[in-house]
Amino acid sequence: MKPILNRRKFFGVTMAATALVSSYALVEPLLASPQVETKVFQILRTHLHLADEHRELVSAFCLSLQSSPHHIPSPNKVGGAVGGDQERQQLEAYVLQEFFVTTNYLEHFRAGSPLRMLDTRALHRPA
Amino acid sequence: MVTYVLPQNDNNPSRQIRLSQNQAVYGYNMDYGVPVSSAFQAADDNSPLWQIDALKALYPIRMNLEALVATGRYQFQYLLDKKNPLQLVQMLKGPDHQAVFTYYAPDLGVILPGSRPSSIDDYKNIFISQKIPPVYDHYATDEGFAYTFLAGPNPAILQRMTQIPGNFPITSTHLTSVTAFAGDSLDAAIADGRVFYIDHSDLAVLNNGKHPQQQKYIYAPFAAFAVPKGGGHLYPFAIQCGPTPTGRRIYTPADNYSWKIAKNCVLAAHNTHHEVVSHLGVTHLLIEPIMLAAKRQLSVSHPINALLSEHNDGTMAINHKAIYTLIQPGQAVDRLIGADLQSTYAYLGAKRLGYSFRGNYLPSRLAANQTADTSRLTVYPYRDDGMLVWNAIQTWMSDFVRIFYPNDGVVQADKELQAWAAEIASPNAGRVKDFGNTPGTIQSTADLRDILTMIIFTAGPQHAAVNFAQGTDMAYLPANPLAGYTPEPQGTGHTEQDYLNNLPPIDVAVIQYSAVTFLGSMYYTQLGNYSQQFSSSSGTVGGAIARFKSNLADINATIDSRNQSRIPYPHLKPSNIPQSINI
Repeated sequence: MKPILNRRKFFGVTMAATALVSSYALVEPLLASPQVETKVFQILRTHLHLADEHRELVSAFCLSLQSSPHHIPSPNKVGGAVGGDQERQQLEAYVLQEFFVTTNYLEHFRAGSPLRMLDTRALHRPA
Repeated sequence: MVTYVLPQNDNNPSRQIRLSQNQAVYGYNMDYGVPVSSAFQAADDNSPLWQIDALKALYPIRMNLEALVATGRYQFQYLLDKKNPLQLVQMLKGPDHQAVFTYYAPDLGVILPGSRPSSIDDYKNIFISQKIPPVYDHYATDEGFAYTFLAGPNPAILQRMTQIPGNFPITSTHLTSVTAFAGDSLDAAIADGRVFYIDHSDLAVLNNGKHPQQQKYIYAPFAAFAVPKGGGHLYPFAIQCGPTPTGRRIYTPADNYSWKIAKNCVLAAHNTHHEVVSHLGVTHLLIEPIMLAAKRQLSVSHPINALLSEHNDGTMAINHKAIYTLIQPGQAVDRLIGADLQSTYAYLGAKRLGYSFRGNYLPSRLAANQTADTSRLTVYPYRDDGMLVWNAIQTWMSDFVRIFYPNDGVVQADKELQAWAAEIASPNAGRVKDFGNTPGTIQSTADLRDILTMIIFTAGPQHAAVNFAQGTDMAYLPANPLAGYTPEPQGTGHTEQDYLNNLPPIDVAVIQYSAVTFLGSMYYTQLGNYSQQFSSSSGTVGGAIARFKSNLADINATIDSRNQSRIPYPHLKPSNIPQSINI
């Protein structure tokens, strides 16, 4: 049986070929943290006003971030060291953008549809 | 459950009232020489799910551009706009799609002090976090060049040569310059049906455009191709870079870098024709008035309006964006193509208005090009996959028409249908030439079936073929330039530097990468996936859709199998074909 390509393996394969190694370093501590759901929920609550009823969806989103190969590593740290407030903002921007493409948040916001995860496999369509 | 009913069976007075309301809102705007909607309502705008898919396609482009800028390799004219999380969220939640596009696929302007490449590798090195498209592996060979005309972004132009064109006087000497044709003769190859050609001589009406830092050029070339006696690959063997032979050399593969520059001239012309005519002109701007006429003449209760609505999702919105943004001065089309906008608009208008709707049904187009015969041209992915999908749609439309129109008399008695057909063909409205067998009216179920097949094929598969090949074939610029940056070659003895000088500069390569990667990776909806409301409107409609989807699944499997033994051609695989033109 073919081993499942998880996020870590995917990054291991692709990052070596890119200049984005440092960005992985920016995201990885968050994803590895035992408080990842709390931290991600806090970001989403601050910027998108998510409520407690969405905690289950945030859990699913965090799991997707940790395990799906179809997310994009944040490139924001490429080209130089950042830290403090700038790094926090980049991390928040990363989480927010991933949330916008992993869930139907825009549909929820515009049309009031229930918030749900989308099929992230569609991020990579052919061949 | 919604029930669809023909007007002759419907006494509901609100039917006509609603149509009159639509007719008061939507009219035809001819400002660009082709009919487009004069109105754009909030209801016509893209759905939030479309916006999410667009963001999915745009997001990696921004990541790549950030990485490119961070290398410090180039000093771009404009800086990347930075947004903090609050600004980002405001933009993403806001109504301004253009702001989102500009943020994620920004125009970085020219490179200072100059944008010329120092080596061919500069084009490859644009790809930092995104992979170089697979075309990179085969574009530089002559077989790869020929494959562009069989499975590339503009795959319906190749014609079989039945006699040597008067303005393109090729000979056996040109043919036999290619090793595979040693001992062959041009007359014998033509008689065998093994010679094909591209004629872009009508592009001579276009004027050269201007890059901010240098002159650019459009060409009007011919190119000839042939298959060896025993069959096999298609090979190019002759190129003339202008519309007449006077003062011009016909180049062959023996001409080394002069030949490579000649191939660039063909690609620049072919790709300009692709974007202006094959893509914008006869998919986007052909479908627009057909759908507009449906809004104006077919009631929401009409079954054909219900069908077409499924294939019109996002079309007016993307056309609105294309017309009022993409083709405006200084925007992507102006930056990419070799010609100036003024002559391009005129060419676009002439080609769109002169395009025969009936003459471009896929079997008719292939017959007219004399490329239908699979024994003469054994590998032609666009034709081979396209015919599978065409036939599946035609079967579905045959079923659909039979449900609502048991005989020709019912078609003839449908006043809304007749008004729709009349408006599409009218010189004062849709201006679609040869709309069916009896333009201006529809007299038979067979004609209606074929008209609907062509509409769905154009909105789905044909647009998929010309759109998604942009991402796979055009994002790496040297594989498919849209302009030349030196005049057409004269004489021989050109060098690698001459070839490099002919290619567009790096700032154009960056714009081309951004624009076509976005367009070519935005998949929203899937052919055959009809809404619950439509598919459950009656058991017979639902059953016909189920048969259609089953046929499409079989075609998916066939194409997967074919792709094992050819350079993969994914663009007419039904699972990669959207329901409508929405990008």
